[in-house]
This record gives sequence, structure tokens and C-alpha cells, in this order.
Amino acid sequence: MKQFPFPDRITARDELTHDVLYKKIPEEERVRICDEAWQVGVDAARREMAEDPDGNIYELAKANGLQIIRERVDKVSGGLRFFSEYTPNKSRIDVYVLSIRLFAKNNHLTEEEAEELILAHEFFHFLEENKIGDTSQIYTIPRVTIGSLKIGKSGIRALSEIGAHGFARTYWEISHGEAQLSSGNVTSYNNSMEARMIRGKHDADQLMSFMFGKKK
Amino acid sequence: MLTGIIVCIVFIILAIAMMTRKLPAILVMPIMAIAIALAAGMPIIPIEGATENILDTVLNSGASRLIGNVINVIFASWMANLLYKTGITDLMIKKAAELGGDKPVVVTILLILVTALLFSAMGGVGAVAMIGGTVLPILISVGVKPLAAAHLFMAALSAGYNVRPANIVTVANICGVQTTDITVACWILCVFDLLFAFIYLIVDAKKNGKKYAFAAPAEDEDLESVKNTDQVRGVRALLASLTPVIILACTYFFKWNVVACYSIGIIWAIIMTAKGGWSKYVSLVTQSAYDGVKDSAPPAIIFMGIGMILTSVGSSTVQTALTPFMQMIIPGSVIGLLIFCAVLSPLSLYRGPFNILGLGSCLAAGIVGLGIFDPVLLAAVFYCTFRWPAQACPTATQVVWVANYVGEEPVNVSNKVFIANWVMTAASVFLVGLLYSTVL
Repeated sequence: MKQFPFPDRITARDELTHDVLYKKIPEEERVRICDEAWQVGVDAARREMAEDPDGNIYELAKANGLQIIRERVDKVSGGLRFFSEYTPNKSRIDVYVLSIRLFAKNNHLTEEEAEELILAHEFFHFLEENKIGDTSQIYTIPRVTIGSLKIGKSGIRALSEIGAHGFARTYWEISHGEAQLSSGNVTSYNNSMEARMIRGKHDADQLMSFMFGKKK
Repeated sequence: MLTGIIVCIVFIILAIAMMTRKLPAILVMPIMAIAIALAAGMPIIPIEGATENILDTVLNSGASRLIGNVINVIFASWMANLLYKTGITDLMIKKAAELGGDKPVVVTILLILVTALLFSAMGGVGAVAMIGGTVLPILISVGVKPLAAAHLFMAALSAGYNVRPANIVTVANICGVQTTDITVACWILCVFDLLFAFIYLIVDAKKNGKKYAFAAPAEDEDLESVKNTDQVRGVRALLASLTPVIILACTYFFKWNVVACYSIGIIWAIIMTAKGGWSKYVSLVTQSAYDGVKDSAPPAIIFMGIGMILTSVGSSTVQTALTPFMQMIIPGSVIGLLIFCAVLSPLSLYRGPFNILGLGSCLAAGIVGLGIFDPVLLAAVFYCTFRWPAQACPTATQVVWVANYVGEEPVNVSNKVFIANWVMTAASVFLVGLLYSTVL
């Protein structure tokens, strides 16, 4: 896994290999469930952007009662570098500024862009907790298998992270219509199909509203 | 009386030097042993008419007094290295995590139990790094806060340490009792540590609930280095995982000596994990032994110092000088002793006078010398006060390693559970003390 992951659909699959249950997932299922989790994130991002194409992630977080706490640290603990943490009980997202600075530098982003991306990642987990359900449960495996006897079932936590990557990347691509990210690099693209479709829908809604006084 | 007071002043000065980290424990121990003997009037070299002298009694006899314990620690470290190098520790930890699946609390409970089981057989800071390096990232990745992960891991480690045969023998030898005499106290302390961990986990889970983190490896992973391709699988792996249980069974059920128990554990592990080319496997076993000796160096040197202190304080010259003073400050009743130990138990930190593997060896030897209390009771009570520094002393190597690994200061890690540990230690002192003074 990369030190500063900003994966696309393909590289996000790497997240699954770090799940403790990875070896228990049948090989032929691995790609499928990763892509399914990624799509959950993509769909959620599209829905959010369709509802509020002009809104940014900060406003979205604020509107949903999420508190954003910035700590000026490069948080490295237990061999892991933390960029952000979301605590549902406290409706709180902690972002680690110096970790994000490194993330930005390594992904050729500005610090602001990197922070937005990371907040979008955590916002997906907020959606999982409150709206769309736990992505880790889209695929389950038996907790204990003794011969043909299967006891209990467990979801795959990594799928939730893959969904969050899918959400963050899609959200970022749509909201930054002027630039599209490709395999970790920022490449210029004006009016991506995705962005145009969503903006077009929004413009159409506004036109309808103007002509017929229909509320959005 | 005056000599006794001088001996105590020497003790206090050197204790402060050690607790303020002006002098390391490995230097303080022999210096204290010599200084106490000198203050009590023991001659430096053999002289006619004197049965004791510092060169022969304190240095020579003292240094080798706990040599058996050094051997025990070497065997425990060899065992630890063997289990790690054959991939058994990794296998046990990962299986526990798999069983917990997507339930962070279940994963944590299972990892606490596996960690305790592993440390009941394994020892040395090498073992801490080997097991901690696998357990801590899993705990943190399932949403346990790094500081909480450190505390839970240390409590589990301490639970295992309390029943580890090599530890029990050391405490028994220092207090001059049989290991079987303090077995009950060891298991009670193990349960206390597990309770500590579970209560901590419940409180933390209630307070913080679920947690998501966007995190990635702090360093690029070398996939080849983390992959253990030679790891055994299937029934042999399951049987190899029972190695700590085999050692505990030999110790507590058959009541065999520590070296015998570890030897059986090592042979069992070798039989269950031997795989691939024989010469390659023999080289792995040999390397485990060498690394075990290397990991045992710090405790081995400490044991030599403790041996010198025990010999010095236990000598008739020092006892004659010290007894009147000790009689004045040590309570004369069991309840008084328990209150004394419970209230002053924070002095077990920084290898202080209530840490049996530190200056506590001096105090314990002094109290034993008074002859007021049963040495078994003293050994049990001093083992209770030893539980705290094993779990959360800023100078303990395991605490330093864990704190650094989770990115915290050792003092911070220890202070966060100071009150909880004080309460736990006081409770264990009274429970064990009353049990040993009335029932056992």
C-alpha cells in the first residue's frame, strides 16, 4: 500500500490486501467486491453533488453537524500515518495538518485540495453511519468454518475504505471540474463528462425553476 | 540505630539518583550494594575475624546469586525468538484478528487474550517488539486509539508476565520462598490485569464508540520481508500455537522447573514447525538461541545487581545495623503492612523500593530479615506492587518501546493510567495479602 494513497478504482483494490480477512475471501470474488465497494462511493458522491453541485465539502460537513478539528501534527502511530479520523459518536472529524501537507506534496496537490479530498473521504464514513449503511457489509464471510459448518458472519472493513476512496475521488473530480486526476497525477481536463452531466442537470433544474417557479 | 539511618540515607540518595535518571539501574544496584555494606561497617577485603567482606560476599557471591534466573530468562527469550521466527506468533495474532472479523471490540478482546497467552511464555524486550509490532497496528486499524491500544497491550502483556514461570521463580528466589507458594497470587494478578484491560476497553468504547481513520503505512512496505513463506499451516500450526499452553501446563500442572518447561516448549515448537531444508531450519533454531541470549542481556545485568543487593542487605553485618531502624519504620501487623504497601505502591515505579526487580529487592530483603512476617506473604504482596511497573513504568523497556511505537511519551502513557493502577494495585495488595495471611 502506498504511503500517501490517492487511489483510482484499480489501485484501490490494494486496500483489500491489508484486511485481516483478505486470505479468507475467495480469489475470484476479490476484484468484484472491490469494484462494488468503489461504486458505492462513486454513487454516493454523485448523489451528493446532484443535490448540491455548488456546495463544498466544508459546507456539507457543517450542514450535517460535523465539527472539523485541525491539529498541526504529522500523526504517525503504530507504523501508520494518520491523515484524518472520524468519530461518529462525537460528530467530529480530526484532520492532521502536517500529515496532509505530506499527502498533498506527494500527490501534487495543494494543501487545500488535499484537505478537501481527505474530508470527503471521512464524509463518506459519515454517510455510511447515517444514510447509506455500512459498505463493509456488502460482502460477508463466515466467522468460523469447521468443515461444512459455518458459524457467524463478518463484513470486510477494507471495503468501507475502498468506498471512501471512491467517494473522495469522484467528489473531488466533480467539484474540481477544471482538473481531473488520473492515476495519482493531476492532469488538466475541462468539462469532464461526469462534471458536465451533473452541472447540466443542475443548470436544467435552475432553468425549470426560473421558468415555472418550481422549487428544487 | 545511627548506622541504620546512614544505610537508609545511602539508599534514598541512590534511589533518587536512579528515579531522576541520573544513574541507570545497572549501575545503581552494585553501587548501592557496596555502599550499604560499607555504611554498615563490612570490610572491603577479607580480614581475620570477619566472616563477610565486600569483595567475596557482596561482589562475588552476589553477582552469581540469581544466575539461575538469568538462565531462565535466556530460555524464555530463546522461546520467544523461535516462536517469532517460525511465524507462530504472527499466525496466532492474525487468527485471533480474523476470528474477531469486523467487530472491533471482539478483535480487541481476542488480541488481549492472545497477547497475554504469548507473554506467559515469552520474555524480553525483543518479544515485546515482535508481538507489539503485529498486535498494535491491528488494534489501531480497527479503530482503537493509539494510546488506548498501548494501554490495552501493556495490560495484556502484564497479565502474561504475572504467570510467566521465569518471573515467578525470580520473585520467589528474591524472597526465599518456593514458586508453588505464590502461584495463587500470580493467577490473581493475571486476572486483575485482564480485568484492567477489559474495563479500560469498555470505558473507551463507551466514550469514543466507533472510529474511522484515513491512514496509510508510514513507510513503504517491503512485501517480501513481511511474507513468511515457510510458515507451517493446518493442524501442525494449531499444535504449534499451543506451545505457551504446553509450557504453562508443565509449570503449573506438573510443577517442573523452568528450564525443563522451556526446553519441552522449545522441542515442541521445533517438532511442530520444522519445515523445508533441515540445515536451514537448524540455522533458524540456532539463530533464535543467539538472539535470545542477546535479548536477555539487560535483565541479566540487572539480576547480577539485584543479587549483590540481596547478599549485601541479607548479610549479618548489614542486618545487625539495619534491624533496629527497620523495626521502627515497618508496621508490626499484617493490616499495617498492607496499608503501608498499598499507600506507597507508586514507589514501585522507576524501579523504586516497591519494585521487587529494582530497589524493592533491598526493602524486601530488609523486611524478611526482621522475621516479623511470613516470607510467603511478603513475596505475594511485593509481587502485587510489581504488577504496576510491569504494566506502566516509564523506565520499563517494554513501556518505552510501546510508547515510542504509538508515538507517545513513556511518561504520558504511564501517567494516563496512574490512578487506575494505584487503585488496582491497592485492591490486589489487600486481596492477596488477606488471602495469604488468613487462608493460604
